[in-house]
Amino acid sequence: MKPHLNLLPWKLRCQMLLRQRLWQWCVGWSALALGFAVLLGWRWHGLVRAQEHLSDWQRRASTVQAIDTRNESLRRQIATLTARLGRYGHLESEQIGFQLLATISQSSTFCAGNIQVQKMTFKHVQVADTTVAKDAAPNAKAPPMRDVRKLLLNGVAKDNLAIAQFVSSLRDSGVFQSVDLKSSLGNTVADVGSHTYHVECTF
Amino acid sequence: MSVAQRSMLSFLRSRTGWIGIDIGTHSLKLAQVESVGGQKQIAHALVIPLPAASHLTAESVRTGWLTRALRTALPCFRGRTAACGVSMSVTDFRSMNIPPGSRNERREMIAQELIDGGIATAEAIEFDFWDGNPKEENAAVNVLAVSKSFVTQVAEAIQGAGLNCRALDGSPFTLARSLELMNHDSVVSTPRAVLDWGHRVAHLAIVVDGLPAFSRVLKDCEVGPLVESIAQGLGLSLEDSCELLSTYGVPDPQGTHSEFSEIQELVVDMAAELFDQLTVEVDKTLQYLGSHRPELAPTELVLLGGGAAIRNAEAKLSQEFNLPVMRWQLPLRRMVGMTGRQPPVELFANAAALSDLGCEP
Repeated sequence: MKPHLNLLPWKLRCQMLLRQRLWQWCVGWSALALGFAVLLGWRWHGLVRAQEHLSDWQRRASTVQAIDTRNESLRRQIATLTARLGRYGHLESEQIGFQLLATISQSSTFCAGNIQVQKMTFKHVQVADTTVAKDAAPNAKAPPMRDVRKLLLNGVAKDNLAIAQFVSSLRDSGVFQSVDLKSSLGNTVADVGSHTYHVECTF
Repeated sequence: MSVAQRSMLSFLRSRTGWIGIDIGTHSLKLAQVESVGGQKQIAHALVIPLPAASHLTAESVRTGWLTRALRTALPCFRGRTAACGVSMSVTDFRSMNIPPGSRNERREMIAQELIDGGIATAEAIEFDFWDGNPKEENAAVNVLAVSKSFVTQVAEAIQGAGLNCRALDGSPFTLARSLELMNHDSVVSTPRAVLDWGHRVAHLAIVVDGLPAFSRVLKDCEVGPLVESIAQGLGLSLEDSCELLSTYGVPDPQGTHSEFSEIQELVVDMAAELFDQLTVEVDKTLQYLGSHRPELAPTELVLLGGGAAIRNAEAKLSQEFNLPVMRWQLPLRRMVGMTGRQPPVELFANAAALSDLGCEP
């Protein structure tokens, strides 16, 4: 500043300077707040517009979404049917059915008519995979399961010998993985002894 | 370069100073200086006559006339920063011989001197000082003191009008800057005299290198009594009396007989006592300077204030003082709030110099 005197009292000068600085800060902060408000408003406007666009696109995509949902449902149905087909489809093959009947019939022939198959049931069960379970650590989680098909045979026989021959014949046929005699109960009907058996064949 | 480009360049180069407020005993003068293309000019100027029964005292200012006057004037000016100056009649100017020391030490010594001199108590006055001769170590110190209650009231009145008063300058410095302003901000090393021929006080300052080297209030040389005596003698109002002085004034010593000669002769008769007294006071000052401080003998004198508006005054004074005398001049772009007669630009010298404080050097 150019040379000059200042006869203003020092206290008054300090007060004026303080007031001026406060005013300057006030103006600065107000401008900042205004800028922030403008920015906020602008962003808010953008958000509203984006939401409107989203709603519009959702409305436009509703038919496609319905088709997608239906496709998903159909895909699940197909998966179920495919699984069912994998499980039972091979049974639909007449050759397998005939092969089983032939095997059972052949095995019963070895018993010289001393055994009768009254009921034949096909069952599909899931059992723990013992091969994997043996390799796993003791504290490992539960072993994986695998699908096993079982043929349950119920009937009556003259004696235990006939049942043993029948079971042995089934094993020897090589069709089944294992043949287990689950039960054999002897009883008497009209003074004639007989045995009710229950055999489980895994294949 | 096209007109539009020139206008844009001119706008970019334009710099406006603060609002300069010169509080005189007779009127309030406001001016705002602007720099256009490196040339200073008064952008806006306004004179407000002091209301009747208003004085330059703390009690009078407290009544609110200053705040009201400034509020009415503010819409005509740009910005809200102001610099203020008060008449020499309300200040106490003196020279002191103070031992060398730091600025604070010298300030304390001056305060003690003022108290010992019986001016007032330390709490009642506000003062500032400057070296009479910066090149000399043990030179006298010039001190300007003013009543603290008065400057406080003035500052609060200015603040009450919505202005931020950055400085309350002393008259000697204002005169020195007004001289610089007239010379397009060029500092002249040769001593020059400035006479602020005011309504209630006549103040003479010798300016060297842009600083007031010598300052003196000339006793009984104010122009107010002349205005009042003309008004009384011719049955005019004070405004018409001022108009008569500026329009007809006194006869040109080198001039021929004119159609105004009769009125001019009448005025010069009434102003003879004033011109004589002024000549005596200025001669005394010049003689003192010639014998005690010859390096401050002025090469020319610049006239400003209400007395400078008297037509042919500079020619008459030049003849009396045997020294080139010229009026203070600066281009004036716009006089605001004036419907009739336009006041002379010399009236705004102090206000313009105060406004110039806000312009970058």
